[in-house]
Amino acid sequence: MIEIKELSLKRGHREIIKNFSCTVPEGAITAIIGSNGVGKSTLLAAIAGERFSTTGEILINGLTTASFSVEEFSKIRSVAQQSHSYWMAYSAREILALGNDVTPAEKVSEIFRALDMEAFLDQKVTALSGGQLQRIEIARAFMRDTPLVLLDEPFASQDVASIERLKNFLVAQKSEGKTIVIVAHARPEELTWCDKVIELEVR
Amino acid sequence: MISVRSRRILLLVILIAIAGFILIALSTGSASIYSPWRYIFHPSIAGPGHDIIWGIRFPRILAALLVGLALGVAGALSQSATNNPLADPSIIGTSAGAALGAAIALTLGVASIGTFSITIAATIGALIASLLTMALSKNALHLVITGIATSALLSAISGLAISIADNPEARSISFWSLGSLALANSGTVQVLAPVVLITSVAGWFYSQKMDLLVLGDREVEYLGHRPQRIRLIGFLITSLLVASTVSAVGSIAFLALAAPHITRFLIGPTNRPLIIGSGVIGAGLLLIADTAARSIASPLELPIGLITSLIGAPILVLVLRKSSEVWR
Repeated sequence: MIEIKELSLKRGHREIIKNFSCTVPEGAITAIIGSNGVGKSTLLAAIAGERFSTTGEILINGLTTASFSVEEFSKIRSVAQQSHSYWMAYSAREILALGNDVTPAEKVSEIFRALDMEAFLDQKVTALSGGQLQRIEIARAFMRDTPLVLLDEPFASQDVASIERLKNFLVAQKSEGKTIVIVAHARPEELTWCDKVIELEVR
Repeated sequence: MISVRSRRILLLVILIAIAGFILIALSTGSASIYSPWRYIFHPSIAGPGHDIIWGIRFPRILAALLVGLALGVAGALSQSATNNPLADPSIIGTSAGAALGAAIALTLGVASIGTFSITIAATIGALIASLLTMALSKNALHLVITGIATSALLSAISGLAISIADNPEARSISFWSLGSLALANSGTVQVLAPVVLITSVAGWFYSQKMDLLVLGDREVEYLGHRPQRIRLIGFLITSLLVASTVSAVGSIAFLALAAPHITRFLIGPTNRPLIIGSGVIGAGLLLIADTAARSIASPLELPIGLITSLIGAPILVLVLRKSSEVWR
């Protein structure tokens, strides 16, 4: 379980989140929502271990995120960032293999099928669309098989069919015991498939 | 994506072409040698032709191949370490830093040309310059602009150091700024070979980890690695390679930029095959450039940097103009 206690976050001199507390249940899907600039992605990055100018604390299974080494934390959480651009023409398959060389092949194939990625796995990442690149990020996060998976706006560049497929995939992953936190641009009534919705408000 | 088999065939073709260039380079030069092939294919035959071909040209060819190999590998590692296609050691200040380190060591009299001590001095200069450029840069464009400024500043300081040096070994400013293999001999090869070969192999091994940097620093950290440490080791290997070449034959521009781009175009971006290809293509290009430098205006010799700039500068312009196409 993740506990966020009286957290205040600053980027530079700007205070983005002030005195915020909540809990994220284990083995569930939690969505963080709120309007633009309210600090959703910043909160997710803080849970992922990024060091901001911070007061308060984020605890994962009772330990502060700052107490983990880089290696230890990599075994606890994986993160799919919103997007990433590449200048070198690695294939999607090569990019997915980087840092993921111990994942069993059948598990990898299962993820590729579930996210409908097989058609572009051998294409160059420099030629892929935003939605395809985003699915690569999501696949990377789940390939590492960590108990906690953090996804920054996973639906942002996806078409309607891909959104449905992704929702089903996340629910299936939850049933395997994963704790999933997503940042989403959606109304609470659109997120009934999530177990918990945390709404950040404009300060 | 090119298959492993096609990659090996391509490498073999390039190596055969280089072997052909070696034969041409052995038989080409300012001295007229009656029937040079006789000395090449029968090395035991004595005479002035034998001395010129095996005593002068052969060590110079080996030096050209080693320097080209080092610069090709250094260019690929440098681009990978910075995750920037324009990161040629001569653009981001590594070469100028190496030249300054070597020039200061020579001026102070703590090292002399053709020794390991000058390579160490040049390595320290190269590493400091690379880290300085990285530290002052906010993004890819900044890296190039900061690198050009760092290079200009360090080259100016080197020029001053060389000008006031009361040391004939400091040689000429053109040697440091444009490079020359004219003085390369078997002693040069003896110093270059171990450093270049061992460091290149180390670079090849480590380059697989450097592939991770393409994911961006944040993701590398999420994967449990320290991107700054990977980058620092990459810079250290690059600095050693560049320093060994600069202290032996001066700064040779653009080769380290051109070789990885040509290789990436031929076989793709994965570091380990890229390092091998870039080293081999760098060696071949420098051999051709050096043979041209000593043949075009024979018996005069052109600075080799002029020839490599003629090859490399258009590639740099192409990279800048068609940045989205060249490496795709």
